[in-house]
Amino acid sequence: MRLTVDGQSFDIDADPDMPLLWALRDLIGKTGPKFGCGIAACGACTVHVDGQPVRSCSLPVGQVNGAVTTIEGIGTAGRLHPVQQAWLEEQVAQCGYCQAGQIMSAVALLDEVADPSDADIDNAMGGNLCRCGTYPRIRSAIKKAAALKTAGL
Amino acid sequence: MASVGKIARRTFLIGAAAVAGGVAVGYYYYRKPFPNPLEAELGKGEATFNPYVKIGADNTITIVAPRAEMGQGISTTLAVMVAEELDVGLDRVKVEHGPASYAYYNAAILEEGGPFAFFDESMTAQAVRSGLGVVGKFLALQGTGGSASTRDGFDKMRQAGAAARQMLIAAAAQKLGVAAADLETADGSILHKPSGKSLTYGAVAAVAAAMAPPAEVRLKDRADWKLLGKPQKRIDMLAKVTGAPIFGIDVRLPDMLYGTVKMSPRFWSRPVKADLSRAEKMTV
Repeated sequence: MRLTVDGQSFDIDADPDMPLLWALRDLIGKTGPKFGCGIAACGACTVHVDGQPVRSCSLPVGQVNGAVTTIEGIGTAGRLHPVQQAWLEEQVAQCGYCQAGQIMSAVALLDEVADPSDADIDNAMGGNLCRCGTYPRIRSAIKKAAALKTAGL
Repeated sequence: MASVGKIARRTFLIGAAAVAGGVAVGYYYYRKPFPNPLEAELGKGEATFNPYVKIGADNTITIVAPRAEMGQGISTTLAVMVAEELDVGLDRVKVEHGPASYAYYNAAILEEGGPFAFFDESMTAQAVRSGLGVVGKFLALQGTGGSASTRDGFDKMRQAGAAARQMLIAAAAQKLGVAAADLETADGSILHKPSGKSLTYGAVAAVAAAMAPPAEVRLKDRADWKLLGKPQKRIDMLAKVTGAPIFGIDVRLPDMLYGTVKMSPRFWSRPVKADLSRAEKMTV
């Protein structure tokens, strides 16, 4: 089976029923996306398939028809995505376990809506839970990221 | 957190015994420091001053913050305590968790383990607290919990930074042939203002680390703090926004085996039987 992840092509030997998250973490070595609940209820495993946010813990790898992007593919420590930059500046994370998923949902939101309202943010981010309760900083970071993106940074 | 409380209550009995007289017997042992675990794993050109500070010849400064980072920010907090006294900015240091070691025992985690509220300042409460603190050394639990890490580290970590700084100054004074009192430190360097000469910490680290630790460690006055008491950026934020493999679930070791717990899909129901024959046939 071939899978394109973060712009790179991988040949993997996986049961088509294997959740995409396991293929990413265990077979390809992309440990950025996290295992949280395993039932698509928390959002820690969020990655993009052709730009759309999906819960990789519950998506069989055999059903993936498109390029996969993980947190490791949107930016690097030396060259952060505007959303990562905003997350850094707003000091969003506490334990950080959910944040890869939060960031991927936020990236997808800003690709759709350049200047999201509070309601847009609530709608797009409602499926990403944070037990540390970093929601207020997530909201301000999304607004900062929107400004950074508009300014072309 | 509950398990910490339980351990603490159990050890309360030991603590009471220590208060009652056991302390004297073990006093020598109590005063004797644990060996520095960093000695065993120094890189090329690296020197260690105590279990919390390593400095490389290239002036790479590493601080060990030996508590579990769970988002409470303890790795940043403990690093700031050392950095403050070492006179370096937080952006100039590498922070590591370090190895598991008795040297990193948490005394404060047990201090509040007695049957007293934290605001109880009665003599009995204080005696038990100090007794349990001593027990902490004997049990040498490297634990994180009970809001103890900051209290435990506040003196220890600052002293570690200050002692290293004093040793670096002494080594620099020797090398430059000047009085230690005429030397100042800033941002990882030692400066002799009258002559304008300066040395990096790294340049004297090896000599300094071989010196005896100072008998008296002088800590900064609160008014001179540059970092402590002020908001800091978390040192682990970049790793957390880039999906770096920093969590337990991300660890891969050679020949690692995986296990899982098989549980009943219903609450409160116990297993009736289990067929372990296939599992028992597995070779590891």
